[in-house]
Amino acid sequence: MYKDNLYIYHYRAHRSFAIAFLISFILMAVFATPAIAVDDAYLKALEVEAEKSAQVGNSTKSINGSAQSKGGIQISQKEMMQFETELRSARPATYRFYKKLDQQDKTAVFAVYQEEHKMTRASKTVFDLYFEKNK
Amino acid sequence: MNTYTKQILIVTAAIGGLISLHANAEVMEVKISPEKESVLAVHEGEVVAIQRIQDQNHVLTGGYSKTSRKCPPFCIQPMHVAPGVTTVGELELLEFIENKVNKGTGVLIDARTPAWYEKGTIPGSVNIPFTTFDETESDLVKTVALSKLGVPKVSSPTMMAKTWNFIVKTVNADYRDYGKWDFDNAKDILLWCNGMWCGQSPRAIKGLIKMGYPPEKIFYYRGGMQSWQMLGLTVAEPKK
Repeated sequence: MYKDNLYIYHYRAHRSFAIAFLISFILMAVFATPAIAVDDAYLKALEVEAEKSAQVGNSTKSINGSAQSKGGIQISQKEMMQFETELRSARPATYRFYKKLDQQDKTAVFAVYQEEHKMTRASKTVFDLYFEKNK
Repeated sequence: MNTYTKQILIVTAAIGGLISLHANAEVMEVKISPEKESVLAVHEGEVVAIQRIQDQNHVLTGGYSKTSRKCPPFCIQPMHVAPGVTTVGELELLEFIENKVNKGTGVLIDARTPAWYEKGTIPGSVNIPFTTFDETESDLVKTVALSKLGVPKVSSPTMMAKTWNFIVKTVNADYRDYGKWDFDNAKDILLWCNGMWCGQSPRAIKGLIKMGYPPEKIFYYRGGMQSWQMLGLTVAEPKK
């Protein structure tokens, strides 16, 4: 009789434990999954927003590209002067470095600018050429 | 690039700048502050002069001129993101670049996802996405990121630290990873993201504090890329 009671007691204890474990598992699944889903949704929203946000070209300074002198390229003095005026206005600090370059390097900077009409690339070229000669 | 090389680059550029300043005594009309026209930063091995756009008719176009985004998730962030963390503006950020980043004692962190970083960043920043410091991220990823911030992994946490971790983690959801990393020589770090509506850097800061990063060594630039561009400050495009 005592053994039977003990058996029933153990059986009930094990059953209660199994039920508690099952309930915990279900609760974890219910509450944990939305947290991950929310996180995924946030990352997805960030990606979508990043795609929608265009670069702000005028305030972007590129550090891409390398300094290359374009041999044989047609340089229009008028266009080059326009470029210098623009550089002076948009990137005054860079312009000061540009002024220290010799004519050949200045032409190289303008040639780089002419490729894509990106002030950012021209600015990078100015620094590359300046530091190449002032190491 | 080591700190020494970085400092040499900055000093060379500064001398060059001074010489040319002397040679061309032109007045910059849109300065950073009455005394400061530009700040030099080293970005991915290149010296970049941070300055403001001089065209006084220039206006923002594109993503950063947008006023409204769905909230949640893009909600307005508080000024104070966590106790002990200092919120800063542009001048403090530029000082941080000059006095900490250029000298190797501080790290400027762009906490945005790579898709944002690739569109342009504040010169001198390194990209450590906010997800790096999430609880769900692996210790390996956290360790690699923290090593850049002067925080090494503790080879074998003490039994006491392990036990404490277990107890706190069991009874309290707001636990810290005690004893996993050594924050004694942690560098000052300044985190930023897209602006007042961006939760990426606040989340990174909270994750770092949970891991044990000293809050007094953390700075938060709430204005982010939106304020940066609003002031016409230089943006660097990462190398492809």
